[in-house]
Amino acid sequence: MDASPTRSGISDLAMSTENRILLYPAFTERERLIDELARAVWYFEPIRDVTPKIYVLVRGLPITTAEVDAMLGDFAAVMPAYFDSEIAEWAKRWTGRIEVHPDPDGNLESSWSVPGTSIILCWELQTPERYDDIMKIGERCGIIYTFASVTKNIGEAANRARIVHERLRPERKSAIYEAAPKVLQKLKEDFAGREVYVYGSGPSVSQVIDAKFDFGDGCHIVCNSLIKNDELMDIVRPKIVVCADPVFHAGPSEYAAEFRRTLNRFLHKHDAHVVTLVDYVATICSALDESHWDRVIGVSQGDMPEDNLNLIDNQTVRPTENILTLLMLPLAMTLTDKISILGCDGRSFVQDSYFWKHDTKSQFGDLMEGAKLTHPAFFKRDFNDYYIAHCQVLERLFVSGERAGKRIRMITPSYLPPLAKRYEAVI
Amino acid sequence: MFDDQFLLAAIEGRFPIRQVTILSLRPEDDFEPFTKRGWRVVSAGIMLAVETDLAARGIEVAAGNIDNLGSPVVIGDFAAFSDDRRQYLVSRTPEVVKVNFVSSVIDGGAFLKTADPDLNKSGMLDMVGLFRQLGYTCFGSTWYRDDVEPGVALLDGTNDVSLFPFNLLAVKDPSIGHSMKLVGEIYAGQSRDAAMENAKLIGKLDRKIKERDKYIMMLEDAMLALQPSDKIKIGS
Repeated sequence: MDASPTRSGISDLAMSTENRILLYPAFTERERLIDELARAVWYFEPIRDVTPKIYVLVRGLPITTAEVDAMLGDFAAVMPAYFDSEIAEWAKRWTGRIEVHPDPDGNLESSWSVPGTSIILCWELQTPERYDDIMKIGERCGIIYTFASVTKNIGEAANRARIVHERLRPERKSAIYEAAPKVLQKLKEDFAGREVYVYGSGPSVSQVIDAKFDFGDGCHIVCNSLIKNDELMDIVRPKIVVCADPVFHAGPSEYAAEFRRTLNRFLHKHDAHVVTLVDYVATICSALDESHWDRVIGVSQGDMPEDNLNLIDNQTVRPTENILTLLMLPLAMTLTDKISILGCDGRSFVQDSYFWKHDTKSQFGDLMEGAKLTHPAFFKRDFNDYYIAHCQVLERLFVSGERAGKRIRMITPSYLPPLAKRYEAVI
Repeated sequence: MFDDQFLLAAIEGRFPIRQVTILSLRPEDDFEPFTKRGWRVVSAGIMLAVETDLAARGIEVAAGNIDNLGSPVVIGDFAAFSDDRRQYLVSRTPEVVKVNFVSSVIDGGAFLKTADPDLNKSGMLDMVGLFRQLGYTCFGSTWYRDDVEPGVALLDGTNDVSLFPFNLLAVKDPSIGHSMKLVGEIYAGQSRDAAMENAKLIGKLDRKIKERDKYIMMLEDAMLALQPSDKIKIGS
């Protein structure tokens, strides 16, 4: 179960711009406390200036507020290696803000009565029934809550980022929403009449370099860790980088950190914009140089009766689980009528141990195990269910685009039927 | 837990009062088989692992303390057997007392022994000693075959430590323990048969999947043949 943060009967506390966050339930083990503190330091950085307190409940764990403060002062000594190494430095900024409270009886309502709590982050849950209890009490007390168990909630990373976005200072949040249509309008003018090349990070993408294909005056949209492939980036000089994964791009793992460092370097070198979901703009920006912030824009996910092919008028996309269908194609179809897709090899249906096959030059493969340790629930999925769902969404989106007069073609081979049947041998 | 249901099978029809007193409750405990068969499940000063709506789970909260309830069966986690409750056992000697030392995890599917055996071993020996002194016969409900198959064994004084961790079952009438053991053996036999049947079905499914994969790969080869490229080799 992955409930989004839900509010009902918002209290004055929740309406306040200040956040007092309670990590629920009580910690009984030091390792889990350290793990959750690392996540809190990472996720809450964009709202640190409006978060005077994070409350930590403990039961049977002998640790005091002063000891937590001391730990934050030298967090590198205790933090697991799979986290972004930067977190150890950021942890110092939270000294004096983490408050330990004993929770002797495990009673929900008394746990939540820590004075001034406005947000509950449920980092673990023992039983499914407790979801209901938490929702009822949260709604009755007017407290914002989110479910974020790293072992049980497949969407925990997205839920954490979402609540941070919701609690940004109003002026910062408004600026994020206002930036997207302006930037997209400008990009549409730049892209007018030109072919748009949309890149996946499949194994064939590096071969495009040797193929010496003439892209003419085409514009290029790349995604995810493809930016690591310097040789390809120098050739195609992308105008847009799309990334919207709560784990690999906006999460606290060293994998995601390496992606953000690469993105930072990329933005210094290339005149490009970053398009992501609004929920991740602040978290991703917190790891980028401030001079890049105005080049990162976000669109929202929401219920839409049809695929949105005009993100300038309405910056909302239908939720899907793949970057191509979530953002790259809606964006490409917003900007132009001529779309060529490359590097979306997919994989054979029978090789079902992971999402897709990737180009090794465009991955942070050596850090993948750390990402799995950081987000164990995220990787517990049936990759063939994902494959089938992706093919269905892809075909629907192509049909929507083609009905709207878009010419969509695949110019490198693919295992995925909706792409394979649109193949044109131009390379 | 599974052994509460074995216990129900062994005690049904034996006592004039069909009532169980429970001293503790974990999320995985299930007394519905008792209540569905008309047993009263009552609590007295209950110890809860997490906040629980007792009424929703068919458990009555009794007025007074354990002394007034007069249940022939008492069940609770080891930690719930405080000194005054042990005193109750000495004075009232209920027909059956079950002391839980182990629990099953919710997520794992199979029963897992989650108790710390070293931590509770001396406590177990104290309890077994007390019950034997009071004339009870002791059994242990434990797990066999990689912890997936439950069973019940007589504790004869020589195997108390080697079988631990287990849930301790102290009975005045040894035939109750032997009945539980029999139910356990029948259950284990059925479980083994079911496991073999499952293994056969899984084998059959694996063969079908391989067959399906063969056809999928042929279709994929055909699809790739329709995407000719001299310069781009897929998946390499």
